[in-house]
Amino acid sequence: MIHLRNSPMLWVALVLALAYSLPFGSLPPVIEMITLGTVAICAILASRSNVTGHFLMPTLLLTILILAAGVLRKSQYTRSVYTGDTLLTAVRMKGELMVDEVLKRKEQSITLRCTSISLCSMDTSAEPVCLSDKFILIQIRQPDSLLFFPGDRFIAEGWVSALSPPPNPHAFDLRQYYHTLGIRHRLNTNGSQVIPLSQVGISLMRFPAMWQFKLSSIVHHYTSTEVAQLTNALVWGDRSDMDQEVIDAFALSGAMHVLSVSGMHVAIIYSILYLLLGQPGRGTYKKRITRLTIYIFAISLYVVLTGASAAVVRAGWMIVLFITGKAMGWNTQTWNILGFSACVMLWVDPFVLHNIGFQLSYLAMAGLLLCTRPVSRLMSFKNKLLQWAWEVTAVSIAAQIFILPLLLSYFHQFPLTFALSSLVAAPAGYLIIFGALLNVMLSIFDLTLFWPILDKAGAAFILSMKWLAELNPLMQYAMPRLTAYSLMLFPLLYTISLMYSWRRARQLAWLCGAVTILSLFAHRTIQWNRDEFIIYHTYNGILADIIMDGQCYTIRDTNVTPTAEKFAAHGYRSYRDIIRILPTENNMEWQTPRGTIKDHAVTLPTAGILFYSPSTYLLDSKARYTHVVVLDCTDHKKVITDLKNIHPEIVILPAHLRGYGKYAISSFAEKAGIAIHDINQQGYYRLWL
Amino acid sequence: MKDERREYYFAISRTDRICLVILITVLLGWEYIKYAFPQPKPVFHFSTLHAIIPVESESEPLENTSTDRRTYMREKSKSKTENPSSGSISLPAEERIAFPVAIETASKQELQAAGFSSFTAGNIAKYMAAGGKISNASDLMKIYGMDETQWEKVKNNIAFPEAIPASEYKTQPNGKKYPTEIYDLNTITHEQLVLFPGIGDVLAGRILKFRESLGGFIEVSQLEDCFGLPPETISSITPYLKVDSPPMRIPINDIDTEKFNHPYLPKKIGRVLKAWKTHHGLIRDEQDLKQIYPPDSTWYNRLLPYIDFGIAWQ
Repeated sequence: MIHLRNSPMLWVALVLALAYSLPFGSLPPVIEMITLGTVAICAILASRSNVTGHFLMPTLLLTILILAAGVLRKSQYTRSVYTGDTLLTAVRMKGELMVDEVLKRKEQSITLRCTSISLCSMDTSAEPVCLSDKFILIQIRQPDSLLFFPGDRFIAEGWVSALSPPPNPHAFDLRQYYHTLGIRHRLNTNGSQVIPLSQVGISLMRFPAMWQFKLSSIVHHYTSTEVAQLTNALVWGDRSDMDQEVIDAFALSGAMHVLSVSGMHVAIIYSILYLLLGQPGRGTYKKRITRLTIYIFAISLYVVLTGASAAVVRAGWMIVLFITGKAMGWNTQTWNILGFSACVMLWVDPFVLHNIGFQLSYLAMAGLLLCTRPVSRLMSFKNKLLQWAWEVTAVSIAAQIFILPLLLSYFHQFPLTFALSSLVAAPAGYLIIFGALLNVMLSIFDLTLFWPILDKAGAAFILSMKWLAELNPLMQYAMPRLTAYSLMLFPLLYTISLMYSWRRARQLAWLCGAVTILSLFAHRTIQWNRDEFIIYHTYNGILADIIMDGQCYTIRDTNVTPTAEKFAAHGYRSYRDIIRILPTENNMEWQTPRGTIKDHAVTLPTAGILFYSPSTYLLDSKARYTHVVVLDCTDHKKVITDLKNIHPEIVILPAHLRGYGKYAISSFAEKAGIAIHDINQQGYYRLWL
Repeated sequence: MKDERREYYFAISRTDRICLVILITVLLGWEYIKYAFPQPKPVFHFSTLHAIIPVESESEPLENTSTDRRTYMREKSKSKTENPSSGSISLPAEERIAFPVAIETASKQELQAAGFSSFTAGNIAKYMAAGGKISNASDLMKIYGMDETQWEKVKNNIAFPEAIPASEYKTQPNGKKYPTEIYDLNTITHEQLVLFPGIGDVLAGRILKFRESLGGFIEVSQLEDCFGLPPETISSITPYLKVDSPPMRIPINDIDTEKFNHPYLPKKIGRVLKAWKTHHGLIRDEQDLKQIYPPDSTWYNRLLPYIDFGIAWQ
């Protein structure tokens, strides 16, 4: 039973989360003073022995107190991280930086989150522009032999700009993700423009990161590349160099949580320690304290070694508090521990609330605590193996119940084989973590006997995940926000109604279920009935999607690789619940139910869209084009002449057009009364068909 | 639910209340204390960008595998710096130096021991050997490579000579006579340049080299773009200089802009110009040039006087 007497920290965490969800950033001084005053008044009133009024009054006062404190904390944190304004244009800057976190490490590029020590513009003729934000994203191309760890300092030179918005209206917005890391700007540079310095800054994560790198090197030395990548991801949380193919296999099979170091991994470490050291609460006081110290040291080391992601920190805190309670004989409430760990994380970094890993971790844990027992009781088997398999599946189902809305909202996918993959992943994960730790320890004494076994086990694990991934049909789901919330509230309210015998909660739960179905239905109906044309830019070239009757026809620039196309269009197509995608090359002819794609032109009942290139265009007096997408402006005189003949309603200028040709076309269009849409300045172009 | 049950679920004990109030007050108070006393940010000066050279750590590497970071760094710094003396020099214990050291007479090693970087110490030593004067902190900050961080390190370890009032100088400190006429900057010789106050062989050479790379000056104020010329030197020599003869112009349509070196033509712009010419043909006039990326930078204004569009417009 959860209530305020036994789980006050859960309530504090929920109120803090509510405070951080409010749309306030940095508060103006007057509002901040008022909020501070509110905190003071609530603190005085709430700590009095006799609070007059209703019995709920102290709870209410404390709730206001925590809410106000949360708003103040978020305001202060925002102010400390985002100290300046966002840059409006790209500025060439140079200065000293300190590595805070290595986000990605590939052969071709390194992505770092760095603390900006001094980064200023290089244009000496004007007032220097300096970046005052605490953190900045650094992308180094062709790093060659450069290798970074937290605390490393270096000088870099490159273009600094604000993070760009998503290329199309429903693509994943990277700015939201980087906001959780306190990043608003990025600096693009290459290895030759980076000078590492010998000075090293203070960073707690430095030595664990170096050890992580060293341990990863050992695993790479003894196992095949793919297995080494899997083992490093699984054991040390180093997924920086992992092949996309393996990541996709795990994601599609529903075992992605195995690759992201999470509570499961900390639980495995705990179980290994449990096997080696015994129960935390057994023996004399001295023995318990000694055992507790080793437990805490080992778990803390693992948490730090794996990069201290939100999920691991959550699990680490929970296990440490749990075993401390056991060793000391204290009464430890799981919900209170869960709330406490959330409170600590939220207070330290308010932005972590919007971190997907944090949300998934806590919701999965809530699902496990609330639903595992009821689900596992649904069935029972006399056969021990079957019973074990069912219990593992029940745990997986319980976790999925609460994270389902998040998975659908963020990733637009829900692997149907999640239960099967869990059956494989749980023992395989255990085996690989245990095997890797054992082998690494034995390697210190030059005992490399068991590495081949680990290699084979890892290869079999990857193979099984690839096989399971193929079983899943290719489906992408879209979920509007209202549906996601109502779907999340449904099991929550239902569980509450069972726990507290609260009939109204059950009615509300059913109401949420109905809202979920209705909103999903309405969303699908509306979206499938709205046809649209949208043109946008990826890093390699333009993409145009025409969505008609629930199908998406893609016209892509020849430079755009299928992978880039898939990445750019993923969210967009998911939003439209579209499963079938038909890429159309420039020279393809294709007949849609309501129009044709032929000779670089799309002819629809309401619009004619021409993908124009001066070298290939032949004047067709019968054709009527309302939109012209100018792909090439090398011969701008011909472009202008052709535009005079076509006389479209709007000219779309992709981002790759530059120079005088673009200027000439724009000037002509302006004089001729033709509307212009410059993708470089205005972003994607959308047309409802 | 009845009131008793509600009270059981939602009421909070006084002990818990007080604990929570204290916890939140302490946490919030700590944040405000941190805010009131912010940690000092490491000081960084732009002049150090040129001075900083990767220095190898004295300690033993953690691992001897080729993947170790320190090995990487060592290999990289070895390949980058041919001069072995560019790293930091640590003095043996028996050669410890008594502080403060006299900056006027100190050797490079002594200056390094006082806290200067190898680069700055070398510059100071060279400056003093060439007859320079450093009589106060302001003079010292003018040394190339010197910055506030180093000043904080060395201020207690160095001693300045007694300053001589400027009014006591009757000729230039090196005994040279001041120039008596106004020279054309585009035709001036090395011998004539060294007569100017504050100009020695090195700076005269730099000015001539800069003139050569430019193709000639358009105005005297362009000396500000010349590497290593102190502003006060420029202001002191400007009255003796003028620009009469025109500079050489760049036939922009005849040259390979990507490979062409000019102080006002950044490499990147050179590449863009080449690409532009490939796509559009000739650069006909200023308007064509204005269209070239990046339009917001200052390269265009500086370069334009040197451009010869160089074609008979057909």
